[in-house]
Amino acid sequence: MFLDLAWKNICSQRRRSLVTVLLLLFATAILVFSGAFMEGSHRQMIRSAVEIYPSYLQITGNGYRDEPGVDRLVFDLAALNNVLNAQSEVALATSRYESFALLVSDHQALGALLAAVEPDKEAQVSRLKQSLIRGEYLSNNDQNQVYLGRELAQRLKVDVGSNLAFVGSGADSSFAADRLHVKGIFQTGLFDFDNSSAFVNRTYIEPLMALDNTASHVIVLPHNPDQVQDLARLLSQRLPPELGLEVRSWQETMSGLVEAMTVDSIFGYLTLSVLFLVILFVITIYTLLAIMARTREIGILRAIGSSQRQIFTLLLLEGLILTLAGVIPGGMLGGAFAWYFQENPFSFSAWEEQFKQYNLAVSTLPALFSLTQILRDMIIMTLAALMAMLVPLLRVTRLRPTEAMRHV
Amino acid sequence: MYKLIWHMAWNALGRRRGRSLLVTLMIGASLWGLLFMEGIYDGMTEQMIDNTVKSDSGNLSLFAQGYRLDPSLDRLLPDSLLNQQILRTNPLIKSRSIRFSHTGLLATAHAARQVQIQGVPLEEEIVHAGLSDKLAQGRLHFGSDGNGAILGHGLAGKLRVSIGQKIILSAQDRQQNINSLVLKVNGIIRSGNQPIDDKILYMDIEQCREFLGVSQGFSQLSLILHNPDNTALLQEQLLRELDDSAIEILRWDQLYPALLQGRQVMKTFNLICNLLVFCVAGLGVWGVMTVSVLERLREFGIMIAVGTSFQQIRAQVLLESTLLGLGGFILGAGSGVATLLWFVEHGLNLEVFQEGLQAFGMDTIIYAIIRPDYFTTALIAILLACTASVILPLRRLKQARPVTILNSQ
Repeated sequence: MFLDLAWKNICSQRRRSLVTVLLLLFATAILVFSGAFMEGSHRQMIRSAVEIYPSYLQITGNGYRDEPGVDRLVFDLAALNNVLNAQSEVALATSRYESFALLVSDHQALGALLAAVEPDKEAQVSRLKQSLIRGEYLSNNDQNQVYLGRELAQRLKVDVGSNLAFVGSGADSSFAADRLHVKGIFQTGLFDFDNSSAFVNRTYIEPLMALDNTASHVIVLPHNPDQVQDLARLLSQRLPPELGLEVRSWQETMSGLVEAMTVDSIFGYLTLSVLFLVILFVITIYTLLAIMARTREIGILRAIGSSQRQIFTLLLLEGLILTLAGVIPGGMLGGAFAWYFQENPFSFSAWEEQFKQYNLAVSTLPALFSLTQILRDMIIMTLAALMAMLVPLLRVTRLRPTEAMRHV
Repeated sequence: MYKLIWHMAWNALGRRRGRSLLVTLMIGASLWGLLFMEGIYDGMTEQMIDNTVKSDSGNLSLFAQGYRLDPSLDRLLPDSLLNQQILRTNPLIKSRSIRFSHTGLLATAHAARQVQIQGVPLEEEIVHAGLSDKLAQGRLHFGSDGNGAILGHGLAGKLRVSIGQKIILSAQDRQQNINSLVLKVNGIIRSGNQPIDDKILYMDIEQCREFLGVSQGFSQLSLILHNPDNTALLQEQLLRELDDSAIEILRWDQLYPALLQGRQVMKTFNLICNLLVFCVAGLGVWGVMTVSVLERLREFGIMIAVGTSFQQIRAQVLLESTLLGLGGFILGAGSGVATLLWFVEHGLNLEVFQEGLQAFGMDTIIYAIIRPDYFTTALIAILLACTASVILPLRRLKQARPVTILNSQ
């Protein structure tokens, strides 16, 4: 009976009901889609930043991340590799030795990151190999070969086949210097990285930099990148303390970027909240108008024996029907947009330069279609709309029958 | 007559006090939210631009032709440029500073990093870049022997150097020899411009020239104007007066187009938000005005029957909705100004997100700004929304005939 009555009442004020439903539909669709777009674009930015070079999980000597130096290296690489090889969650582990060196060409000398990597494994944990634009990527047998960032090569005025020299220091703080032959040039799209990075084969540079059994980082690729934090915790427990190592997931190594995305989300939702505030106000106003127009009718219902509770339930049911009539299609509409833009990401090629300025190499941003998130947003919207309706509902149900019947 | 209309409109609103208050509150709250958002977002954008202008680009920067594509020590501006009348006595220019830039490697006993060497005349740079406000540690001084250095806080952090510590600077000089120099860290600055904070090393310009084997010249002349709106005007003047085949004269927005793009996006974004919010608010006013007109059909019928013209009734209804809008505007603008003034003075402290904000070159305390156009745009939008909201109710009223109305009630 309640449902019948509620439905009749909704239909009797068709225009107001329609506006309420449309507003809720619009608000829910915007909330669902904005949430999906923020989440999707943030994931894409982080993924791109993580996969270009830093990777998902890093193991370093204790304190190396805060205070990088030759006294905080991984000093027993073999022991660490033994532990990592025994972990079923680890898909791959590879070592890096990062140092800063002066690269000297015939025209220019520049300070740059000179990193020794295991080329074959490195190709699986970062996008270095995929970023090749000229020449060839490094191989595990290379000697004196260097793989340079495009901007760095331009500044040094060298190209594939050119020679240059490096002067740096080894793991034992000794001087290390040699001539290098440019084997390939890469471009990740991150200006800073391409402008200041050079890579060599680890086995070549090991004796030059006294790297025997030593690394600055060990990069771990998990089977499931979504569980990288669990793996970091697990490895922290399983690594022998005497190795003096710390395990950091990308959430820690790239905490600045993670925080930046959080700030972006906060400001995004802050903006949406202004729009929702006014929408909820309009819903309150419409509910008030709809209920006020029926005050007399409510008085009669009370006079013939309906309890305050029954009236409240009836009005709440009307509100719930209107809310669900707006929120459900709104959620579906927002979800449909989220799915579409997940499959066909927004192209931001005009914005590429601006993203690069903040070390983000992305030209397309997808939305993220997540049922859990869509349901969460729909529940939030339903609760907010019901809250907005609550004040007029409480006001009218508290009226005494005689008072309500006198209402004009 | 107008007094009567005013009186009637005011009384009509007063009779439905709760409803009127709710609409006023809705407009006020949404305007408050919009003003807060616009003030903070614009403050954020302008702070980023201001940090970049002060620490690097100035409003205008002069470089030797080709220097930006190939920043070599052979492409320098001559010292004589500073004596040019247009640069010495131009009333548009507030401050100027010369910079001698080169890249090198900065090392401690434990670590090394790529560095942007910036030789500057310190006194000028302090005024020009507002370095005193940016000092995070130590002091702004190159020492009596000129062997002091001031580092960006990101660079200092990566090298883990502190005040008083020695650092070794290596770079290739003009004759292509690799030189090294021991410097002492005297100060650490936080400019808010991320590339500067992560890479900059300030040192004495004379010491820098000597270290790099250059006797005279500089890489960049940065100019800050009294009124930034005159930037294009000064650029034109300089292009006319100076030899543009040897000198490149670039505005900050030509050097950092992404920042200008950011400012334009923020403007469009604010405009879209205004539109959306006031369209929805207009729906709220429309609902109230429709009910208000429909429930007074009999009243209007009587008024028409006794000779009141439809124009007068239209004016009354329009005035009612405008009064609601203006009430909301006064409430929203008042509370918005008060809130923004607080944030202009104290700023929005986001230190908890320090790392994230710095990754985007933002300050951790964001000072709001207040622009007159926030209020004019909002007022126009509110008045339009209020006017549009009574069109349909008035049409319905016009279609109803007085006798029919009186009989129907």
